[in-house]
Amino acid sequence: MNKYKKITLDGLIYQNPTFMLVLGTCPTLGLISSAFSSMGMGLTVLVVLTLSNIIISALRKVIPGAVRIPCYIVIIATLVTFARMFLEKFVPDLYDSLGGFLALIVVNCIILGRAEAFANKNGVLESAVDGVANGLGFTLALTIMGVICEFLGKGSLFGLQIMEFKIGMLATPAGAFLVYGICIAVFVYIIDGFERWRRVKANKLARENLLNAKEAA
Amino acid sequence: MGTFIAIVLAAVLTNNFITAKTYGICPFLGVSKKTSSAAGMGIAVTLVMVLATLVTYPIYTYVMVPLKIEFLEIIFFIFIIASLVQMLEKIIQKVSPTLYGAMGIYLPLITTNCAVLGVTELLIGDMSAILGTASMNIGWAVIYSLFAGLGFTLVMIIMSGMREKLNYYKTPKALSGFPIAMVTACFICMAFYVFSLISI
Amino acid sequence: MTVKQFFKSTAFKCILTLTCVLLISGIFLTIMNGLLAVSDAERFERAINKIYGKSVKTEAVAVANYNDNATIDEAYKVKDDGNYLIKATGKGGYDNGTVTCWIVVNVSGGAVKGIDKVVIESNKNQSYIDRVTDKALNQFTELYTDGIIYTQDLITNATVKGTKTAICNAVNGALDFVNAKLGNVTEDIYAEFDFVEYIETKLTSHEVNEDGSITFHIVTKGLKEPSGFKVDITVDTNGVVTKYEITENGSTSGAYSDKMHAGILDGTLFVGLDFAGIESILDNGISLPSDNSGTEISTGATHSNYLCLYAAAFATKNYDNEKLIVEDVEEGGQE
Repeated sequence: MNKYKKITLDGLIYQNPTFMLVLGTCPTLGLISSAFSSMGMGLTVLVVLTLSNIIISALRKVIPGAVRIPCYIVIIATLVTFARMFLEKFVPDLYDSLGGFLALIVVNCIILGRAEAFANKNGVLESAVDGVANGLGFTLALTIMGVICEFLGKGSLFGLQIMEFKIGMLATPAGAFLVYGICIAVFVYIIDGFERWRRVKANKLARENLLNAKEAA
Repeated sequence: MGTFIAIVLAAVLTNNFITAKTYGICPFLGVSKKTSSAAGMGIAVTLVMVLATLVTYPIYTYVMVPLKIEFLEIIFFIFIIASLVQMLEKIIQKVSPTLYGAMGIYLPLITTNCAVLGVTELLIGDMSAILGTASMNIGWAVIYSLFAGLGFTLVMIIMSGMREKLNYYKTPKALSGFPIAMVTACFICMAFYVFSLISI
Repeated sequence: MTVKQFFKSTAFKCILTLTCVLLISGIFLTIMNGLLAVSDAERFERAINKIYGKSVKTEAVAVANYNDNATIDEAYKVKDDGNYLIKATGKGGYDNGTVTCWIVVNVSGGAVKGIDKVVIESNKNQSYIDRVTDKALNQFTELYTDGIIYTQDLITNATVKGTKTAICNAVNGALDFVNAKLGNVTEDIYAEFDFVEYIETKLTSHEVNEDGSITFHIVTKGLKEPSGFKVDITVDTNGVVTKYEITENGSTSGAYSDKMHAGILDGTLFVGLDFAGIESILDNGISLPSDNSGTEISTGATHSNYLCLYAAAFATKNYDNEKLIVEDVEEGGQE
C-alpha cells in the first residue's frame, strides 16, 4: 500500500508536473485565463494520461524498444483524437473553449514523459494510479491558477461575474506567465519549508531517542 | 501584397506564437539561457515548421479531405513531423557534421514541440481573420509558417538576451530558475501585446 | 539476409508492431468517428441554440431587403414558438462601418410582439463596440412598442453614437423584414419623394396647418461624422420656408456644431426661400455666407450643413405632393 501512497504523493506534490517539473506549459499558459477551460483541460489530460499509461504498460512487453516512441505517439494521438470527438459531441462548450490546445495534448510532455519514465517499467495498476495522480496534480495546479487569473483578470469565477474590479492584463498571456511564475515560486517555497520542518522534527526525534537511550543505559 | 504584409505582421508580431498563442513554451523556457543556443533552436524550429507545412498541408487538402478521413489528422500530422525530424537529423549528420554539431542536439526535442504541430493544425483551420478576402493555399501556408517560425526565433533571442543579463543579478532562492524566467517572459509578452493593437 | 532471417529479425518485429498499432488505432478511430461524428446540421443547430439560449428547431426563411439601412443576411423561423431569428447588418456606423447582429423577434398571433434578444456578432470599423454593454442591448427588449423605430438616442448606457446607429438600423431592418413576412407593411409615403437621399423617410412626419402650410418634422440620416438631425420646417402654400428650427443637433460635439453655418443653425439662411433658392445654394456650395460685419464665416462642419440643406430642399421640393394632404389626419396624429 505504501507504494501507491508514494506514487500518489509524488504525482500530486513532490513531482507535480506543473509546479515542480514545469511540463505541459503551453496549454497551461494558454488556458489559465479562464477557470472553466483550464479545469476542462486538466480533466481531459487526466483521462488521456490514465488511459495511455494503462495501455502502454499493458503493451510494454510487446513493443520492441527501437520503435517504442513512435508507438507511444500513435497511441496517445489515438486517445487524443478520441477525446476530441467525445468532447465535440457531448461537451461542445468545452470543445470550443479549448480550441487548438486540444490537439496539442499529443505533444504535452507530461503524457509522453510518464509513458517513458513510468508506464514502460511498471505494472498496469501502478501505471493507472500514477496516471490519475499526475493528472490530478496537473488539474489542481491548472484550476488554482485558472481561478486566480480569472478572478483578478476578469472579475468572474467559472464565467460567473462577481466583481467590477479587474486587472485586464492578468487575462492575457503576459498575466498567465506572471501568475504561473509566482505560483511556482510560492509552491516551491512552501514545499521547501515543509521539508525543512520535517527534517528538523526528525532530527529532534532522533536526538531525543539518543538521549533516552543514553539515560536508560 | 496586402495579404503578404498582413500575414507577416500577424505571424511575427500580432499573433506571435510565444507571446500571443503560447505555443512552443518548453524550448522557450528550456533552451533560452544562451543566445547562441536560442538562435540555433529557433532556426531548427523554423526549418521543421516550414517542411512540416509543405508536407502536411497538401496531404490534408488533397488526400485526407477527399477521402473524408480528416478525423485522423492528429495521427497523420504527428507521424509526419516525427519522421521529418528523424530524416532531417540523419541528413544533416551526413551532409554537414558542423551544422549537426550546432543544431543536432535540438532536433530530437522538436518532435514534441507544440509550435510545429500547432502551426500545421492552425493552417488547416479557419485563417480568414488574417487572410481577409484571399483564400488559403499552399503558398500562403508556407509563408505563414516561415514567418511564424521567424517570430518564434525573434522572441527566443530576446528572451535569451534578457536571461544572460539576469545572470548578473541575485534573485531570491524561491524565484530562481523557472519563476524568474516566467516573470521575464511576462514583460516580453506585455511589450508584444502593444502590437496586437495594430489593425490592418 | 535470407527471407527467413528477415522474418525473424528485430526490424521485422518493429515494422509489424508499428503497423499493427497504426491499424488498430485507425480502425478504432474510424468506428468512433462513425459513432460520434457531429454533422453539419447539428453544428449549425448548436450555433443557433447558443444565440437563442435554448434548444429549438428552425427553418430557413428566404431573405429579402425591406429597409435601405440594413441588410438581412440570414433569417430563420423558430418552429416551436413562431419567433423569428434574424441575422442583420446595420449600416451607418462610425467611419461608414457596419454592425452585424443576431436579433430574436418575438412573434405571436401573426404580429410582432417585441424583441427578445439582440446579440452582436461582428462589426466593421467599430473600435468602441465593447462599450455597447448587454445593459444597452437589453433596452431593445424593454423599449419595444408597436411600430417603434429605434434611434441611437433611445439606447443609453453606451456612448458611441455611430455604433449604436448601426445596431439600431440592424434591429429596425429585422423588424421591417419580419413585418413584411407577416404581411404587416406600413406604407412609406415619402419613399417616392425627391431629395430623400439623406432623409430617414420612416421617421419623418408632417402636419397640415389651418392656413394650408405644411410643417415637416424631418429626421435626417447620419453622414460620416454627424448622426441624424431633427429639423422642423414649415413651408407655406407657395413653397416658401416660413419657419425653420433644429430640434436636435446631430453634430458630434459642441466644437462641430459651433462650426456650422450660423444661418443654417438658426434658419435665417432658409426663411423666405423657395425650392429654387435652396437649389441655388446646393448648386453653388455653401461658401456664400458672410456675417453682419461682412466677413466670411469659416465652416468646418460641411456634413452637418449639407444634412440641414437637404432637409430644407426636401421640404420645399415636396410641399405640394398630393400624398401629404390625403393622409394628413393619420400622419399628424403620429408625431
